[in-house]
Amino acid sequence: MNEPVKLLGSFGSPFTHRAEAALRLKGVAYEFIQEDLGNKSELLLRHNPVHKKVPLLLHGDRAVAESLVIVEYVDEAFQGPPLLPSDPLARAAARFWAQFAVDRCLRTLFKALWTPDGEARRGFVAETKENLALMEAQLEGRRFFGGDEIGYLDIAASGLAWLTVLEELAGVERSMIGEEEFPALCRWRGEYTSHEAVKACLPSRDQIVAFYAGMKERLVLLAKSMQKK
Amino acid sequence: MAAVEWSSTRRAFEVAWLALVALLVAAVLDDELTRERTGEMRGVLVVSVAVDDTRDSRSGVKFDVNLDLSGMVDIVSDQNTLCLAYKAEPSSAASVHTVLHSVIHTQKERKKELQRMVAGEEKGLVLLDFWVSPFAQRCRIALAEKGLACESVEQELLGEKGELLLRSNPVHKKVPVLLHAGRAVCESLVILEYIEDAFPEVAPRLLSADPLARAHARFWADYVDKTVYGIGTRLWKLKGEGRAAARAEMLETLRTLDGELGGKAFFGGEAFGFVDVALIPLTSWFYSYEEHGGFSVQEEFPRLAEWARRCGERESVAKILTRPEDVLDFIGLLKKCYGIVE
Repeated sequence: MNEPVKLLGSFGSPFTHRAEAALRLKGVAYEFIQEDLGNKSELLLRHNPVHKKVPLLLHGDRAVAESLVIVEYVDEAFQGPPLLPSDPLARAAARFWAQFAVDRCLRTLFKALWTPDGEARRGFVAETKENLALMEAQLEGRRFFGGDEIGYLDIAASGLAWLTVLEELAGVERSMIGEEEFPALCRWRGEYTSHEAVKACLPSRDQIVAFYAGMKERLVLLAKSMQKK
Repeated sequence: MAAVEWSSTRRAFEVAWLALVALLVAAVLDDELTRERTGEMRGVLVVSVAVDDTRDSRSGVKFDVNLDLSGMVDIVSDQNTLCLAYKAEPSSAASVHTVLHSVIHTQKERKKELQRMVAGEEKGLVLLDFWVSPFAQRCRIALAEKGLACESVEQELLGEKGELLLRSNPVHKKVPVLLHAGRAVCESLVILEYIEDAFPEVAPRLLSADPLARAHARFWADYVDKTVYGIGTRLWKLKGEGRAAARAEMLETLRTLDGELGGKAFFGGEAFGFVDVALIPLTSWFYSYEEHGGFSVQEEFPRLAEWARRCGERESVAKILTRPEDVLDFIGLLKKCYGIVE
């Protein structure tokens, strides 16, 4: 398939990063189209009418939405090193833990970051750490969740890689992913962010700051609305 | 345990049956079921309950149900099944089913076999199940469509959770869990994908081989997961503004699904597939959502209603889906548990 590949995204967004990481790891050439989230393009709205969100992959005339669905599509539609293992049980485990990372780590972490100080926040921090401990255990001393190479679960959990920048922005004093508590995760973070293919699409500290800077109030409100969910 | 109501006009014949049932229920609970009877069963409603020995957990919930025995004409039992035959529809057949399904345990042979399968000593498929769970039903439908035999083991969820469930799904402690030669797979959509991956030569395929079709299927199954059940729960749990908001979101969701289905027979096109399996068990809950939200799926979204009927014609779906009335009963039970008063 030599049809053009375009990725509509927002640089600095962890969801967009997942799609880019998959494309880079598979060695797929693509055109990145920066989407202005405050003024969404007709292209985006036409091809992702349900969620109206980035990232959105356009492969020829095919449109694929939802970051992890895009990762699987890229894995299946293009040649290159596999992102998901071939063993059915290992695939199931990768999918299960990816869902866990998204729902129980990243989501709770989001609430922990943007909820103002107090009992609720302490609760989210405790919950996040509990769940991160399970992710820590999943690494089992390996370089990546996928083993020697980056895989589907690493990509799903990649948002953890730039947590320290966000913690700075949110005004957190001590990072949730401390060296002592999560040595494997800290090592993983280093490996992930220095990987050749990923480095090329990893936003810089300034880009992450820029992405989140204008959003702080909105994020606090969003975290508040998520409290009961 | 069930409380039995007396009717002052009950004939001696029925009194005898009453005593018999009480004896049988007690006998079953005491693992001493020996009585066997055969009889004419044509033209009667049969409420039958599979009887299994998973008595390693206790239900913390008291089922406040009256066993309606008026109209019951026969009782048949063996080591596997207890059947109550009614000439006319009893006023609370659903309640009878709920009680018996949740309370009766027996059958040592089956427990031993299950233990072997769970330990991986036997190559079977075991599904940790809950009778009304639409998520567990997704898995059962997929397996049934493919003709893959699977042992369904009912779990205690409203009271104390069993040791097997906690061991197999320590992270979420939920059903469904698929045990394949002793290895556990959790989360219904992950299980559906696992079934496709682990049995690639078994037809029908629920996911196409085409990457784009697969991506669409995953997108829509994910959409169903993010919406229907969660919004539906708010619909029956909340009142006033909360319920109104849930109602609006539910209609929006169903409209989106109806739109995606369009004029197709199934979500994936001509064949029953992944998204259909993901959504169809939730249609048993539509009646409850309609009752609480004051709307009609048939009126608002006739294509979706037609799709549900079309799927319901499939043997797997017809056999596995919970009756909508039973779901409503179950929600009534949950409301009692949560202390919600209508």
